[in-house]
Amino acid sequence: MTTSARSPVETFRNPETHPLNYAEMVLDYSPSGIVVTDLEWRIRYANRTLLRAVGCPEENLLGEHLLVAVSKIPHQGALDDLMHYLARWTSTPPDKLDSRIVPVKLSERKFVRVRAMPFHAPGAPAGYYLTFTDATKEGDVDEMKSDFISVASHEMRTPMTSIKGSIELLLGGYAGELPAESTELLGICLTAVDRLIRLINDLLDISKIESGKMELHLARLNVTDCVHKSMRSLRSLAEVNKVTIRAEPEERLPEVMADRDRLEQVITNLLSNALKYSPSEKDVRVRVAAVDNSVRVSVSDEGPGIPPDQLGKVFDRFQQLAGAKKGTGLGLTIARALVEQHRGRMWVESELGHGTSFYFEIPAAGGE
Amino acid sequence: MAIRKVLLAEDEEDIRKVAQISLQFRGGWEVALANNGEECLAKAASDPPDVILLDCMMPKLDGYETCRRLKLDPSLRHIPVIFLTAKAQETEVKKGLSLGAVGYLIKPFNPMSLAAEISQILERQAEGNA
Repeated sequence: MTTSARSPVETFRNPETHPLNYAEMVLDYSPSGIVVTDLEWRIRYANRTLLRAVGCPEENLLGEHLLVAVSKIPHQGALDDLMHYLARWTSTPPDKLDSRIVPVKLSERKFVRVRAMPFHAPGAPAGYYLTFTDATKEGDVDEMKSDFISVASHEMRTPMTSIKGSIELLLGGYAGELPAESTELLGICLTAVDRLIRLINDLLDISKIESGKMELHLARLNVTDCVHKSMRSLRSLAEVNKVTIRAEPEERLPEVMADRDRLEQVITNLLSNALKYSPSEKDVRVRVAAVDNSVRVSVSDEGPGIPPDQLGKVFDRFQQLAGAKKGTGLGLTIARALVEQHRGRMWVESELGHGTSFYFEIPAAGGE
Repeated sequence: MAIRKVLLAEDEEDIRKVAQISLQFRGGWEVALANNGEECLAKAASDPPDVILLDCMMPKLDGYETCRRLKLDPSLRHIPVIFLTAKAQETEVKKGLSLGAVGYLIKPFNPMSLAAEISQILERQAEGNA
């Protein structure tokens, strides 16, 4: 075969006839920054887009741990959120493609989509493959959506307050004794309004979390105290469902830095879910234990369990499982996001017919 | 402390009405109304109530600023102030307590127990001062 018979691509690929490495060129001209690390998260490759974006020569990055490399980029807080997500991946490596839009407070680019996945190219050492893509437009749209939800929810809450109050006054006898039919119908109104108020509160929480406006008021606290407080708030629901909540906290647990109200919200959410799904006369168990440098809480029920194909979706928004009990479909999404805001993680294990356990961990407070 | 008269500052007409009925019906109290912070300051000065309920978000003068001014006025600073606030602003209110309010109540409030909760806050405060 003569050279002239080759297709242009083959010519291009042939290092003898053309010194340009086509694959490398494609990588270097990719609109996304690309990084490949080994299994210890040491950088083994960075494309030109990434090097240009971080403004440092390749030799400064290669061999460096991903987090160390990012910490060396001068950013004055603009990359804090990015660091947070990268740190989460390095501590709990992704087993499949994981993707997040992360706010970065740089002048032009406001959001970056970061993707990470395990990398098993034949003939190359295993590691992780990360891409960084400008997602400012996507992030802006998300932000508008969050703002809209936030404003709309606030506007809905005011009339809801008046409706609820009026119903309660009527049921409370303000207009005199009511016929049984009126009492029944007003009772339905009240249940429905309560549900709407819960939904509005959940939507507000979600929009705050997604727009990064959820502020945590951190203080040193004992997780077991929060568990007991949540248990007290759910006592009547437990009694109605004939379920016993058993707390099994370890002694001498380290304290954590957390927002007390939000931590109680997380525990209350897990407990009320467990109560909903637990068969009556059975126990719901809450364990609090020290694990490595974290405090781990688990909430286990002996309910029907979650089918394996649905297990991955329980934390998604508005995902109510088949046969789900009344809820807003946002509780677990909010709970996990709140735990993640505390630099922790939440996960679920379930066995059909044997029950479900939800776990979360948040880092122990350092020092004395 | 026996309450006879409450001054309620709230800009939402419906909520004002529900709260007014609730305080009259359950507390047996006389209820004076204000649409905003400015009105609240004027009414407090002209006819001092036993307790002032302040919505946080109001036009003209919000609840926090109204509270601050009440506490600066030697003739009004003794009147206990309680904030009425939406759940989402709870943490803000905790800051608001440093302005001299004696407590806060979360909206949506239950009109059947609002008066009792106000009495409790005032009793706790009286015990604390005793």
